[in-house]
Amino acid sequence: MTTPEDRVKQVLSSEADQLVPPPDLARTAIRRGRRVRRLRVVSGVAVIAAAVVAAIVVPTASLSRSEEPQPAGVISDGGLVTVNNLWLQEPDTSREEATRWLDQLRTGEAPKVPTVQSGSLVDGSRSVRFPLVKPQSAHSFGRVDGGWVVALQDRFDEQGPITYGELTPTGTLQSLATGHGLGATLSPDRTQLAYAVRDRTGKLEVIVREVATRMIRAKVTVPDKRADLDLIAGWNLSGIWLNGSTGALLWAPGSALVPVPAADVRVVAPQSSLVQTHEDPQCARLASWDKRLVPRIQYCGFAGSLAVSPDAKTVVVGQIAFGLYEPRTQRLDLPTGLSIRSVAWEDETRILFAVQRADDGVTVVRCDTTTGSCERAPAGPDVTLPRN
Amino acid sequence: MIDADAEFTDFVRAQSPALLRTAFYLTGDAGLAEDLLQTSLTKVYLHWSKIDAREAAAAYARRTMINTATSWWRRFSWQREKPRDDVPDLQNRDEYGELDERTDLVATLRRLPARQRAVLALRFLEDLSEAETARLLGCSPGTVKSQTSRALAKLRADLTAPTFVEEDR
Repeated sequence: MTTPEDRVKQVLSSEADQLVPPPDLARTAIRRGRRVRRLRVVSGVAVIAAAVVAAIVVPTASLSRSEEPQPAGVISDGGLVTVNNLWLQEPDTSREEATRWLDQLRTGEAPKVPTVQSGSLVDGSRSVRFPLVKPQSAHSFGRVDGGWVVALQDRFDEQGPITYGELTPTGTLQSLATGHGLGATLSPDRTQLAYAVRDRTGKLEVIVREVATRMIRAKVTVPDKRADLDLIAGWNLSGIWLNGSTGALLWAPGSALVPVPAADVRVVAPQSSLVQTHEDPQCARLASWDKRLVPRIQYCGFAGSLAVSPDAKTVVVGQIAFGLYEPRTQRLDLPTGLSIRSVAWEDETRILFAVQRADDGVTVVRCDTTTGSCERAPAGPDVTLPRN
Repeated sequence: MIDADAEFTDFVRAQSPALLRTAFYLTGDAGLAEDLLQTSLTKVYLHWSKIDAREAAAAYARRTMINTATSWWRRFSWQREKPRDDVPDLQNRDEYGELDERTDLVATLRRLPARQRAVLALRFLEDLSEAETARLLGCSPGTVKSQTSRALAKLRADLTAPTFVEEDR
């Protein structure tokens, strides 16, 4: 009998046999490498210089353009600033080294965001057991007026339906909706939930439901030609962002879908119009929406996600916190190249990282982006941080 | 004196077919595999002078690809649920069974967490031992064993699970 691993090997090997390396691999690597080496020398100076320029230009230029100040480094005429060579923060830290580092960190307070740990939602001193009827995975979207919005899914059917509900402090789960793997997102004011459903013909609808009343407030049918959509990427002041392989869609509930030619959009701070995009696999870019995506700043040589604070004033790139509105750079006291499973902001300045341990558990680390200091935020090894 | 760039070029010429295979196993996508290889080779070039033993360069390149692939995976996974491409439909499977199976296999592999995918790629596609895999991944053989076991369990579950058919809403 053929085992699954044999089948995977057969299929992938036959596909891999057909691959031919591109002809200029070495030349391109050398050219890019030399460029990075040059930038390595000047990058520190360049970042500071860009920030200083921004500090001079931003107060007069940005405030006249919009209520939102421009990020540090963005040229006032809309030019895109690039911060390069962040990959020089490599090499990665092995999980064993990371675990040793985690274990010697001083211990601070428990995470001040609603987390899921061992079948319970834990929020500060409160712990509410999920009423699970079968093995399910759960995660939290965060606090709402009557409790917490959560998502539950059969642990053994990751392609199956996802139940969204409101978990009350007494442990009751009030069902809100059933959606599918495109995800869901809370509105910036945390009163509404957007999620996607597909009917059996494949038609895709995005639905907005009010959490308090369970009423549907808006819905839109995605055109058949946009069958590539695979993710609700978040909801910010511009609207709800949907991602697909042929570009993004923006939907402000009550109006029409707007196609946005951008790759891998992600909402980074719901209380702003900023989104993250990846036009190039090696550059994470921040852009704002003003009838079109306006690129503002990009970080190249960095393959991970940018983490923007809730007030959209700070961005964490790797282990560096940059001020987006003022020239501010703070290195976080983290080893380079940690394997980070997820991040969440506790408030405008403190960020939580769920760091992978060698034993496959995670440890939550809290870093203060104003001082760079980090500490352990005690939580169970299976903790998951909220998604919104 | 040996020209470092020429030496690096020779290394890329000799190793790129095998490295591209590994990149493909790690990503499950030909285009991404090329991007991964190119990015990783640039990183290798940056550290070329520090790689003492040239025979270690291929292992270093593999390690770099694994770490880079993990970073890419993290980029896509933060705050994101696993997407489903379509509504699975059992009726079509007889007619297009073989194509479906290939698509399912690749999709299943791509859904695995990066670390588990790397373990599978190295253990079963590159035929490395547990010890060699552990060395490349910078973890203990015990971790390789447990990750392998989890990845295989997930593969089996995914490939044998009954297909979900939506109920009327």
